[in-house]
Amino acid sequence: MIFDDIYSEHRTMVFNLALQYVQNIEDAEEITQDVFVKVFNNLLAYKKQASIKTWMYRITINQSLDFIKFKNARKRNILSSIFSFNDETFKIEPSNFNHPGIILEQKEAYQKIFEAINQLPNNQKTVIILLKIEDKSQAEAAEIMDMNVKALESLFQRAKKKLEILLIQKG
Amino acid sequence: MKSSSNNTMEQLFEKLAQIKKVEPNMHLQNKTFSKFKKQTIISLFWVRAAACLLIIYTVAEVYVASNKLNNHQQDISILIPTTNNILYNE
Repeated sequence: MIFDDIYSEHRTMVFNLALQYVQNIEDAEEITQDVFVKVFNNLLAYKKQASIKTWMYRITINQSLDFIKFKNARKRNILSSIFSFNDETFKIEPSNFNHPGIILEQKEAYQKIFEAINQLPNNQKTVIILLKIEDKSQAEAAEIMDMNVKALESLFQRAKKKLEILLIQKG
Repeated sequence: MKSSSNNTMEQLFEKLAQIKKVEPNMHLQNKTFSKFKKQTIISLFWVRAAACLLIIYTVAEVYVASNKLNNHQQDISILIPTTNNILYNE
């Protein structure tokens, strides 16, 4: 069956990519489910302009970013009804850092790095994840992000600079 | 100075590259398929069509109601003589 094949071929990629965005098993599982439901629903509409892998990368990235946005908005609504928060300065970190790909002894160091990565704008966060965690080549990352390699390179340089500043601020 | 910051960032990226890939839990497949089967798919076309009908209905209601109000005001103005300030003996 085609659904089974797609699931077993891409589940690890989807789950791990989601995990890099949310750093939490439960949330990554929820995103993985939603990604495959979306893929199965849109399989007929899928146009073979990009490979199915690239298409799935895009869906996973969008789903992860939407999930974070929705979760933050929900938290913000609950909290702002209790306290009055300034919208621009208010940013919620992902709750309970629980990344199974990181060994326990190094959890604290990685948590600090991910806290900085989470503060980057969405496209900068994505370029760091694709190039440095998912180990994609610049050409592959550019195809996934639907931009040319030069634009991706400059986006990565900006992301790197901003990440460095954020890490210095965190000490 | 710049090269030391570059080194720091390179070390950080090396660290990120060491994150291990993990296999998702086996039960996730069943959960995903049951979620897919459970969902009720309503085509976006029908959602849009329903929204359009609702808007048309609301606009029509508002238009009819405001017309009725105008007619009613005209009826009243016929029944109540309007006064003027002209003195008849002048």
